[in-house]
Amino acid sequence: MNPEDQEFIRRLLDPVTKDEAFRSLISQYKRPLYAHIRSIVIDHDDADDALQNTFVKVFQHLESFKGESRLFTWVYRIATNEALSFIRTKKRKTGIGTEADHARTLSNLKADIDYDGDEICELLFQAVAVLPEKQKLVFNMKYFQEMKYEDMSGILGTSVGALKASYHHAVKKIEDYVTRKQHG
Amino acid sequence: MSRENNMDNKQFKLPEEIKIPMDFKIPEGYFDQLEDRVMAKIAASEKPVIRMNQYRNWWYAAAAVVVLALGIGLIWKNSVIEKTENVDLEHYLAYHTSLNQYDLMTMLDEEDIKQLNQDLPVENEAIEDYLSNETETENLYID
Repeated sequence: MNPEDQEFIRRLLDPVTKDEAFRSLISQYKRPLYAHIRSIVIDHDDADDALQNTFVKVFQHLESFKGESRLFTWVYRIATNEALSFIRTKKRKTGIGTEADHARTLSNLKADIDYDGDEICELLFQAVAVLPEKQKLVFNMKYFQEMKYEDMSGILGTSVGALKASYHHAVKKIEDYVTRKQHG
Repeated sequence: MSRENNMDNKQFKLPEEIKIPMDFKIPEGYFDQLEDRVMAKIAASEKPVIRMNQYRNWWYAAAAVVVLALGIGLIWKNSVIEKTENVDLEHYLAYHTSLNQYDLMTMLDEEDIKQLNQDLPVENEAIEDYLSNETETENLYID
């Protein structure tokens, strides 16, 4: 564990400084973590729920943080699991099949994403939305959030080699999707 | 690589140098006071857990007391009945029956005698003392 993390963890575990330190953790992580969760669940209200649940879980499990990984990796791992289990539960509850779910996601994209109406942008977001879950996750983290493969490996528990392969598969699928839609 | 170039090419190539941002629409002021909302949620999630645990412990304690009370009551009751029955039986045999030594002897079988020998061992010396002091031994020989 690096010294900064060590000192911050000490403050988080000390009952006297815990609340103040945790508020600082929320301020530090809220925007990037929201973007990460939102890229998985898409809907804002769902992202809000998953983000707040993530912070609650981080707070409740601070004592069990072993310091084997970086605090950043640990927090992102909890957020990723929370977001993934959120969409899986939602799919089970609504009983919506994969194709219907994709159609709904595509129709909601325009409402959810702020863009200038560019056709390429719209097609790109559609292509990402219909990717398999793991490839979508890897593509979002690498392309939009510009994370390092090493950090992604710690968060997702997947080797760097497998992540690179997954990313390149995703890029190929996206390029094929946009080309097909442009000329189809 | 620009988006226009991508449009012109037959095969679309994802721009890696100048990335297309994915900016989600976020309600204005969403991040303001997020810290307060999360801390309130943490406080709310902690209270019921503590209260439930406290009540659960009390329920366990109450259940244990009831089981203990019933158990002790049952054991006490059984022991009293047993004692009373033994005392009553002895009393009845001593004062309200016409059982004599002969009756007892005829009612005892081999197993009972073996059991009595185990429960009430009689030393040979004691038998000799009894026989030497007993003047009327004739009845015993006959029996």
